[in-house]
Amino acid sequence: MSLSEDGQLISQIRKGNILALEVLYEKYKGQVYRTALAITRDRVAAEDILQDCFLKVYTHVDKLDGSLPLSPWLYRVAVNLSYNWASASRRWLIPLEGVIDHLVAGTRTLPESTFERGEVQHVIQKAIASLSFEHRVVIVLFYLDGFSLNEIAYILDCPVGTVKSRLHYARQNLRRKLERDRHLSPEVVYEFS
Amino acid sequence: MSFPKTQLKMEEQPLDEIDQLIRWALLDAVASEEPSPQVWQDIKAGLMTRSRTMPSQSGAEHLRRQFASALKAWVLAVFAPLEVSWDPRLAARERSYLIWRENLSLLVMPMAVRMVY
Repeated sequence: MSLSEDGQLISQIRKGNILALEVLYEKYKGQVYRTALAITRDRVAAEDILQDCFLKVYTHVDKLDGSLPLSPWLYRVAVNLSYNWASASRRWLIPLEGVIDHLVAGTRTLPESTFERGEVQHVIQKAIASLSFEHRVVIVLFYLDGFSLNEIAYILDCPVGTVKSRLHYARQNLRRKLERDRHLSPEVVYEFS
Repeated sequence: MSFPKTQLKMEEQPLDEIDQLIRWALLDAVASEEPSPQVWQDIKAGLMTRSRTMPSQSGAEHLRRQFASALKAWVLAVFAPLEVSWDPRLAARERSYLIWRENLSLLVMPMAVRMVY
């Protein structure tokens, strides 16, 4: 099997070529950083996770299979590091209650005004942040990174059924909050286009 | 309008409003975010530190192997005269010295092996 671009870079890194690692870093830094940021909501933590990710690439380069894409492995490492960070800091104890209650009336799927965008984004972000770590990671990988359920199962090293279940309950949780908000304000009409 | 029931088979059904809202919120929150250039500098510094510690680690490993090899040679040398110590032709004092040395070696050896491994 011919080596992919990542595979060629990995074989260069095995020979101690730091420039090859830099090329790999430039290629994936944005995705890994943004995923870690979406999970942790902490820029410093996300940068630490990004840094550790690429140090691990260098340390474990002999174990990497150059014929396979690198990104799922990178995401797996990033998620594990995020989990370690969350476990160490116990930052997932934010209560969900009351988070979405401030959702403004008349929101559309893609709010246009700056205020509206900021407010809705803030509300949804807080709602997502209030999910358990496992649910939040699945939400981020599915919606932000666009991974399939199978890919998420690989990244999280768990069965596809578990991923489905977590996604189902996470969405249900968010949906319930939004629906409750709608019932509290009957005049509110969601103009989802 | 009411929200449809939660999809059980995500990949087989189109995404609905909630999905769009979640996706938009996540993307909007991090789309413009980039790591600072300092991160790569820190990675390089980390690699330098590791490459500096690697030779010393392999040096330590080399020393350990050398010590293990010397210990093995010493053990063999100590036990070589085991048969000799029971040789009736030896003087009592000489035999006593050899037996004492063997017993001491047997006593010290487990500690030495533990030190190496």
